Amino acid sequence: MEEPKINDIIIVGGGTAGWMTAAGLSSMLGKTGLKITLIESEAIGIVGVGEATLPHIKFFNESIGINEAEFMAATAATFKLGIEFVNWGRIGDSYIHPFGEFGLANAGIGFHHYWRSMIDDEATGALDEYSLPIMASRMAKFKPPSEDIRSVHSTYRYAYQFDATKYAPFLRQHGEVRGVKRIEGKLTQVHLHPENGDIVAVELENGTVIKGDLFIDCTGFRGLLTQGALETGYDEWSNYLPCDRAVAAPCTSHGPLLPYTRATADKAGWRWRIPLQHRTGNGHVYSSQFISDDDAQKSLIDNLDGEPLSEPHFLRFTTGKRKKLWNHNCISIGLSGGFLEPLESTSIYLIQEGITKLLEYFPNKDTLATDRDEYNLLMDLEFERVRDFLILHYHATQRDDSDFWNYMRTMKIPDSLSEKMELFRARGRVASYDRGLFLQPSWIAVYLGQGIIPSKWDDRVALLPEKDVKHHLAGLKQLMRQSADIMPSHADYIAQYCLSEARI
Amino acid sequence: MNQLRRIMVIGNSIEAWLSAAYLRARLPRNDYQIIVIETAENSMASSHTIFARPSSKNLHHILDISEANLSRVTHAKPALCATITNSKGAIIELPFGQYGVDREGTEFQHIWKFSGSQQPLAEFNLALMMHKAGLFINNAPKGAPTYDYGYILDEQGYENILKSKASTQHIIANSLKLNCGNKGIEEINCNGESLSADLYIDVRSNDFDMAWNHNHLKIMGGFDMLDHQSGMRLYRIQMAMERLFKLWPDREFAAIEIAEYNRLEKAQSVHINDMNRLLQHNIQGCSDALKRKIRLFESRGRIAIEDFEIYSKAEWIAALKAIGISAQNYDRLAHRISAEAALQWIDQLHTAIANLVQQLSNKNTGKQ
Repeated sequence: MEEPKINDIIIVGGGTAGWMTAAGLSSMLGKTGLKITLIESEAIGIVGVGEATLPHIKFFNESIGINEAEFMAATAATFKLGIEFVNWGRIGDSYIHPFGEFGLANAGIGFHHYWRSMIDDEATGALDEYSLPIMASRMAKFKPPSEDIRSVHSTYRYAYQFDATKYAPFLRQHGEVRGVKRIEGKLTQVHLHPENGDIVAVELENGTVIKGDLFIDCTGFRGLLTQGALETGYDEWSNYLPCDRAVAAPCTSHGPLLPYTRATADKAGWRWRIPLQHRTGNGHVYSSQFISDDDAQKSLIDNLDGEPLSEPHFLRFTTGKRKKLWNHNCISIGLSGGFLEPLESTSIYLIQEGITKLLEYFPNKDTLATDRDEYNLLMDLEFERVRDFLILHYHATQRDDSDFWNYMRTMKIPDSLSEKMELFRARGRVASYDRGLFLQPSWIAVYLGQGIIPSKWDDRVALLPEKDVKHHLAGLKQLMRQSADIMPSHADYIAQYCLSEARI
Repeated sequence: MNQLRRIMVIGNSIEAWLSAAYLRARLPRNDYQIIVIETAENSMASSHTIFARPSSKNLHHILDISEANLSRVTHAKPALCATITNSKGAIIELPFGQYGVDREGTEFQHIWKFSGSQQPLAEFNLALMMHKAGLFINNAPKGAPTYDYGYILDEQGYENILKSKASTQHIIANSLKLNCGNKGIEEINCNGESLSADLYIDVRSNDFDMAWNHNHLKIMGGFDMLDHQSGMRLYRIQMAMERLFKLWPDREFAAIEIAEYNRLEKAQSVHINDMNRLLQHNIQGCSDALKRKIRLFESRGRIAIEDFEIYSKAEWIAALKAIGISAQNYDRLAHRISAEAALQWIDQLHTAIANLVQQLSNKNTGKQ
């Protein structure tokens, strides 16, 4: 009996999601006889989602055989050690969510318990001072982590900040070398099977009909296949995350090249600042219920570090996700699947997870339903856990300077999040999960950074004499400062490792 | 001061002494008093041995019990799998090692299925093959399927070693009454005397709705033969202690921390119950998680991994196959190599494993 294999996969839409999917699938499944076709139209612009990323992208790039230095030079990328949040807990506050640990656990008790027990002592200082990636970020330093686990330089990871409009063309080269067939054309029609409702083919403006077994919708917010043809529906999360628009404008670089992204809370949203080699990416994510487009644009332009390089570009979105990320024989990857504002740089991560899980649950025609159910279950969980983490940033605030912040501070949040927050408030415990993107250090960074100070800490801290705890803290602080100090500057490291032509 | 200072462990046998030893290892002697109230109930029909999963190595590290000491006092024998005899008399072996070797990002069982190999999957599990031949070596040779090992321990010897590690006051309870109120245990009456503590750890339970209620922490005792054979008797205590220390309370016993403990405990119990149902071939009305595992495995030999998973993929595969559930298909990634090359590679691996077992057997150096 012939195996009911999926032989033809059609990706509709280029851009970051489309070409990441094509590169990932061709790299892993290209040898299995799978034919991959990507349809895109140069007439349709790309959103270029996700200039800032999370450390996971390094693994994705490595798995498809990308050379890091070449990739960074081609996309004018910089290194990223974390995200700075300014004005979130209160106006004037600043903290960094680092890609690494805080301090060192001692006797099975998390470092933040020791820190919490000593915060009334002026010498203790901010939690940030006990994190090497944060100290390096503040000093604009960078070097890759050490592989020696005994070294403090092994306690962090890194991601990239890059020009997203250059990433897709870079991946295209990789995909095409591995046999991805690119078709230039605009989609005009989707043909459904008259009985089971699956997608049978897509039709282009020039009348070409392209048949496939499995379709990947990378058509962005419009979701031409999943929504336009299959009417999948959308779970809206605007009640929790009411920002629905963004305005973006790059500007000239100014000041030292920083190895971190900055998210500054504004009156009705927040502004991003992403330093690339050749320019700085900027944007303002906001809620149209609370601020006009004009005022949002003005706030963005007024706060640019350098000279604007282009006219501001507006985007509209609805926070949420498709009711089924995989519906019939169509998988939505990227913006067609859902949108969560890029506050924690999760856009590309969610694309990557979509691809990874598709590879893990790649179907046959006869197992499609089982694989689809599992994929949807796991991806829903990813989206929901990221959503809760984003809500935390807005809800854990003391700001009362605008209607927006009053709403965010007092709104009802998901039970799953309120229980986590209550647990941390009680004694600095972080709810345990094996799965989900954000692990304990991330939750600790945001809780403490936004002023959720646990009322108590682990009792067993008191078993160590106070002077020993102080000595331990002082030693760690000094270690982090000195270790950051000996790193090369971020700009120097980039210059010798992966200087982009765009910068030269 | 609101700190816990006095902790009572109520129960007997391995469960009580392991709990006490763990507390002793993690809490300074000068700051915490630990008392064992040794009760008379039998935990289970003793088989004179205790089975410890590979995770017990970490437990013994915490308790500062070296492998040499364990071997000397308990006549410890390494165990490369858990051997279960279910209520129908069927013997099921859950290996502590992987099936074959993953290749090009593809799990072995998919390549095996794709290749059409006639060799049973179990013969690619080095842990199982060595177990069947009564052999053991500490580490798998390079390129061979990896494995870990647990122990079969003499129960009395193990209890003795735990008692010495606990090194704590104990009271033999000829009579015991727990006076419980809304806030856990108010006091206990032991041999006609009223006693109290800040926290009571009760390891006699075999059925409860809520593991932790205020100052009363219940840990599932080893009343079940299946738990005994699969190593859950020790594992439940080990996990309960790890959770307790992650959420170490004070005398206020914050409800949110207790709820978190109970959430984690419940998640773990679901996994154990699911595995036990499989081992007993009793899957009617099973949990959604187990239904999902069965569905996915039947479809393509995949193992769904949940939060707080206890068993390895290899153990789930062994348990599913033991009750006759087979994968109908395999992962597409298996096609990354040709069927011919896959079969050739599979045959070579099979020969290599068989030769290794034969060599060890001939040398007689690896005999357990």
